[in-house]
Amino acid sequence: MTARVGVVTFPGSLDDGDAARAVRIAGAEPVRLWHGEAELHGVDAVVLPGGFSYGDYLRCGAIARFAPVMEKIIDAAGGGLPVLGICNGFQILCEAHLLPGALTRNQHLHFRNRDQILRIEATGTAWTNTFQPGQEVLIPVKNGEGCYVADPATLDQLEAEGRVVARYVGGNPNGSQRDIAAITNQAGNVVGIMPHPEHAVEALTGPSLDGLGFFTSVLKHLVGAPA
Amino acid sequence: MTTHPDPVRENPEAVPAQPVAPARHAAVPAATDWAHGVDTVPRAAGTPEELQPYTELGLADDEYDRIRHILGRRPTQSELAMYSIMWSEHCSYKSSKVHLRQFGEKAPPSDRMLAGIGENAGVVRISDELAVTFKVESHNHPSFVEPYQGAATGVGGIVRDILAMGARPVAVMDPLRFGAADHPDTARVLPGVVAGVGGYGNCLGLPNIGGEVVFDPCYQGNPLVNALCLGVLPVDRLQKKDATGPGNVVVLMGAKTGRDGIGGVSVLASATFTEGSEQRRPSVQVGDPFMEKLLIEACLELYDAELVVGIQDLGGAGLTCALTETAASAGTGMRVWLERVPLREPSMEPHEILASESQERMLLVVAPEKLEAVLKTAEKWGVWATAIGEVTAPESDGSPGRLHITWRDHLVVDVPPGSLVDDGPVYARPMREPADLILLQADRAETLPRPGDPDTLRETVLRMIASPNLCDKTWVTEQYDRYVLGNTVLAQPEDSGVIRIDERTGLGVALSVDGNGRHARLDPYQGAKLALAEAYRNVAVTGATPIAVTDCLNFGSPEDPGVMWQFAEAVRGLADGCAELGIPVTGGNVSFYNQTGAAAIHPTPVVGVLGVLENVADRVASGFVPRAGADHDQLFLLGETHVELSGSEWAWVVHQHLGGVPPHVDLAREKQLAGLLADAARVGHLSSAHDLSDGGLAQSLVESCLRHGVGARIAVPERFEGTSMPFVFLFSESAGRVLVSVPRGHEKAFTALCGEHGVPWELIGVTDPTAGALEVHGQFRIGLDELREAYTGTLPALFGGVQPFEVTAPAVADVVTDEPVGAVDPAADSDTASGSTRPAPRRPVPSRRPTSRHRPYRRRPRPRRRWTRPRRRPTGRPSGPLRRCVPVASRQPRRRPGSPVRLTRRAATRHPGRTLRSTVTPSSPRARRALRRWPRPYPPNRDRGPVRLGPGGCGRTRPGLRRAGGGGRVVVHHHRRGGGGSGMRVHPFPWGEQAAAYARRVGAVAATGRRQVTRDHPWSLSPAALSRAPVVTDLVLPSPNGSAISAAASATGLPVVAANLRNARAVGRWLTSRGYGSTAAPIGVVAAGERWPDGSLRPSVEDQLGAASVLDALSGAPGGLSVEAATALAALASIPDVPAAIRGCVSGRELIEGGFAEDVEIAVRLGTSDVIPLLRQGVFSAA
Repeated sequence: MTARVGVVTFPGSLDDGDAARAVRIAGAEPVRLWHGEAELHGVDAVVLPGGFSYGDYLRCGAIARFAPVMEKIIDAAGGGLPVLGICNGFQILCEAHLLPGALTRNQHLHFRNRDQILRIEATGTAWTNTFQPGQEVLIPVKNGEGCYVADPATLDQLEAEGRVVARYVGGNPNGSQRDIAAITNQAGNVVGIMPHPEHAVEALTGPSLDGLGFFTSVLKHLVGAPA
Repeated sequence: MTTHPDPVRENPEAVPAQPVAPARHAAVPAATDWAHGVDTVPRAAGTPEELQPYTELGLADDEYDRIRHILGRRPTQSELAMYSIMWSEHCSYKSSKVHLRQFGEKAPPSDRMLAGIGENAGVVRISDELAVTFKVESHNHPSFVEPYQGAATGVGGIVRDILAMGARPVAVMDPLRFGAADHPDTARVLPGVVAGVGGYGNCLGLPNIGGEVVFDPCYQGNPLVNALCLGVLPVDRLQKKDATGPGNVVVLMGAKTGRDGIGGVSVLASATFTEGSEQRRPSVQVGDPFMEKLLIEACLELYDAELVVGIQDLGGAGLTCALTETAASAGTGMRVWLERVPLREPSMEPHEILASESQERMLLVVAPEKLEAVLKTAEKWGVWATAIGEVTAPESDGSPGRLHITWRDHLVVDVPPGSLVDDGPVYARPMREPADLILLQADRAETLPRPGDPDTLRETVLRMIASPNLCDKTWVTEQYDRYVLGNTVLAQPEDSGVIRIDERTGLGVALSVDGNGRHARLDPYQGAKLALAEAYRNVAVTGATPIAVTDCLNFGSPEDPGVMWQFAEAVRGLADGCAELGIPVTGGNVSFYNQTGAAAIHPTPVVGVLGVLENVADRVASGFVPRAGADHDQLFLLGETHVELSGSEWAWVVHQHLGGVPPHVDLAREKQLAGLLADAARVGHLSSAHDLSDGGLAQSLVESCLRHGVGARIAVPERFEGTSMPFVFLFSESAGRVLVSVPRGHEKAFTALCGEHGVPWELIGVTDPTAGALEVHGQFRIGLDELREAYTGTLPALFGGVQPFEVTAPAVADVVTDEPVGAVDPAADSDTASGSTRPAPRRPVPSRRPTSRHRPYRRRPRPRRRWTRPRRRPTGRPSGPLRRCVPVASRQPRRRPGSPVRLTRRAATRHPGRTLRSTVTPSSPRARRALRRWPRPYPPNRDRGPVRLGPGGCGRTRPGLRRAGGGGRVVVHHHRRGGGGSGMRVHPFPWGEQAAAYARRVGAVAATGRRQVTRDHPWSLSPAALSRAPVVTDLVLPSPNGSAISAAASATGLPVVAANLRNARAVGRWLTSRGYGSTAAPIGVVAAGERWPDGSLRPSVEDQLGAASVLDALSGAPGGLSVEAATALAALASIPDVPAAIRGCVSGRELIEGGFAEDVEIAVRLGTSDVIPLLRQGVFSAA
């Protein structure tokens, strides 16, 4: 049976269709989840896609974190459900305290969209286990509030525990502390990433196919995971 | 957010018959005796004599009369508001309608078109199941006032147009035009507009796939913010706007209604109320992209569930437009309860609700049984939806129904909806070719000095790619999301954006928008065709087949006959062009009144072309493709290169020149080219293809090289060898050309295919992946790093480096020492020079070692400090031919080779000049004496090449040529007949039959030819006759050349004075007394001359001498003297007896022999007149 990966749509989600497409291309079955339903429909993993949930007029992700579906996700994540938050999804995960720290306005104050090289540093997570440690990948980054910040103790802890999943290489697009592009929780099942792997899954529309690794990783993880 | 629980809707009967007047009205008790503060239909019928502020609302007397005629009474306040906005230029197209018809009349037959002009957007079928809709629209004025929100709501508006057709919006594009890149106001407008376009589009989840960023001083006070949206729909989901089916419910869905964008209507209020008008001041429209995103999703769900009968977006003219258009197109009536409209401000009055342009609203027509489902969908998406009315039946006699609107049980509107939509005024406005056009066209850029040696050519390449219009636009495009929705196959900086429409089959579309205001200024007919050709070609180079056109026609005031002529010509050109290419215009937008004061923008038709790609995997991109090892592609140039430099980017950047005629456009050739490219793409002959346009071949080569860092080696074809011809090869802007790279092994097949399609080709070189440079054999070699540095540095330097870690303490020191030498003339601008030693303001950023790629940004920080001193004339730079004349006074900065930003801001603004290739060498003792009275700015120095001529000064660029003009602070126009004596106002006017008609219109008398004087009409060009004729207050003085020069000179915004031999001394005194003739306020003197019957210039010695006498009278003025001025002065100095010379010259003899000796005698009475005829608003009168 193919894995079923849920993709949540909040009001203002934009990359939900792309995340679903990436899941499909990776070989899993995408399941669309609605923010207003406290129901996960038995999915094996969840992607919180990019976008501007609730317009991001308040702190990004601050409202979405209270959506009914999030209660279920927070619970399930505690139980080991693989969750990937991309961009706005990363922001929601931080607001939901599934991940430490916060994403703030890009230091140069502009929205920025570019093709970005990342170095994958943690390959033990549910979403990065098909990469090699230190592998450099090309993934589009596009955000207005992607500057990762946390207090020094938290940053030191993340580094010490090997929870910095990816760092920006060859220029930091938003001023993130310690060039952090992605982090994970202690269990390694919840990953937040600012760049958009779902936009690097087709040669025709993306700068590379490197993003596919995140989605095939979760399949590998699910196969290996005790049912 | 839930569906609006409107108590009124729940229980209409609950409305009190006598609603309590809002408290605000109590504050203004005496100002109105209107019942309940609202002007009702019965009241209007009873008070026919009441004065209404229709002129303030922009309605003409006859338009107002017509409204009264239609209604059979005076309109109510609400009705007046509705008519005034629906009959405005914006909504009614009253000035453009008669011309726009051509798009339909000349349109080629197309079986693809499902909806065309008149709909919200055109819809074209791209397969059996799928259609696309696209349209480009302007939001120019709001974007100047409030750049962010103006641009944002511009995007929002066009997206709703697309949505209203039943389509899902899938991409946006943004053709943007700004004033001079280095103007301080551009630094306000551009970042705001870009952030607004990005902010709205990004938040809406629409990829931005292309557009334009163009800088030209003509847009300084009036930037152009156009936005294009592309949508996709299943063919059977096409929506209509018709409010059919009496009994159907009218639903307003989306944002609440506030007091946005009711500027004109607020006049209505202030005409009634004297106090409290501040609180009614309309706020700037504020976009809410999140609401729009919800609206899109809600609408699409409604379409798919087939819940709506008709739908219309609310944009300009808000509810008024939506209600009347839906009813009028169905021929039905409508009954609307206005108080049900959800309001942001409860105190809003009916006319405000009707006129509000609040964003993010749609009007739906819904069958009653489906209303519940509609409201439920709206609730799901969290948007307001309120039933505000119902469709009513047509009249019993079959005529269309009426629109009845009540507000709290008072009937405030009772109109036939069609009268607002279709019966608006239509004007065939007067048109006239602008007087300066002939002059402008004669001033060809092909005569400008061109680079003639390899070093200069190399330097020109670097300078051009760094110029604002040609440089890298990443600073802008990085702020747009191009990936969202996952179907973007190509986006900027490619020639076209390409979107995959059908994931299954690979079917997709390519889109490009292009325009060139300079070309259209020189020839609006050809300019429009050129814009069309460029957009068509840009689509074709991707391998797509162009199928449809949209346009946004940005022009000045239609009340200016010159602008109207430009508009008519552009429309004719576009319609003819589309007919020739066989693709229809499917819709578009007209934007008039784009001008600052009397100065209109360049006519700027922006053309969008859409093409179809059967499989987007076949698309061809613009960059040279990297190949392993030493393998390379062959480079072919398709099309023909001619010496076509007029209107080019080079002429503008290097010479600040605009003149001549734009490049020839051959649409048949464009069609062949498109056919070839589509075929070649399909069979894989092309590694890359890149359109040639602004900046010519050089620009395309650089862009293709830098795209993937692949160098190239180019050989200049034989016929382009020698002196300046390699330059022509690289920089000519001939149309119909494409640069392609062809993989090894495909050359023969490709060239054979070219032959089949009849497209000329030429092998010009190879790509060179290992060289890391662009090399033009025998000319230059430029490393890709150097190219990239020049190409990418400009916009970050102008608008702020967006690198987060750019400034560190040592970097500031770099800033100072790296300042381009001579970028600021220290002698002339001491405050600026000292300013440059001040460190740039530092940003609070963490200290960090900058990487090498950040370096270019640091080296040229945005030099804000240069603007610390208020500039005296931020706008009003000379335009048109007069721009050419400035060299005489220019202080051109010395340039360092390779430094990308070349013009100092201040100097460029003041004197956009060029250097001259001549030296001052007085030949005769007399001339030398004459010249000695002037300070000599620079010693002649042949070794330095072009000699820069010094500050101040005045003169003509080339004696005897029409391009004469002034570029300084004042222009003296020398003419034998400077008017203005006897208190007369003189209107200069082009020679021709229209003078008499014009005179009648302005209430003046037209002077006729000398020989056409009659007893009834004694006013002629003959000064003698004129002195005997009865004195009139206003005289139209037709002249072949003087009027054109006057018009062109006055367009500069500088004072223009007419002078002749008689008043030269007085003019000199007047100028000196006002401080002209100094470095800061130079003078240009133009000798008018005559025209031969064929229109060419007839220089006249008397005008030369007249010009020289003005110069003579200026002696002692502190400024220097241009070569031209010196030459004219030397000529004057060489003539012992000026009156005798004038009597003896050809034109003098002609006049004397023709019986007008008296005129000659009057002309030679040197220094006898003290009149200073000063040109104000097109009329000469005594200063």
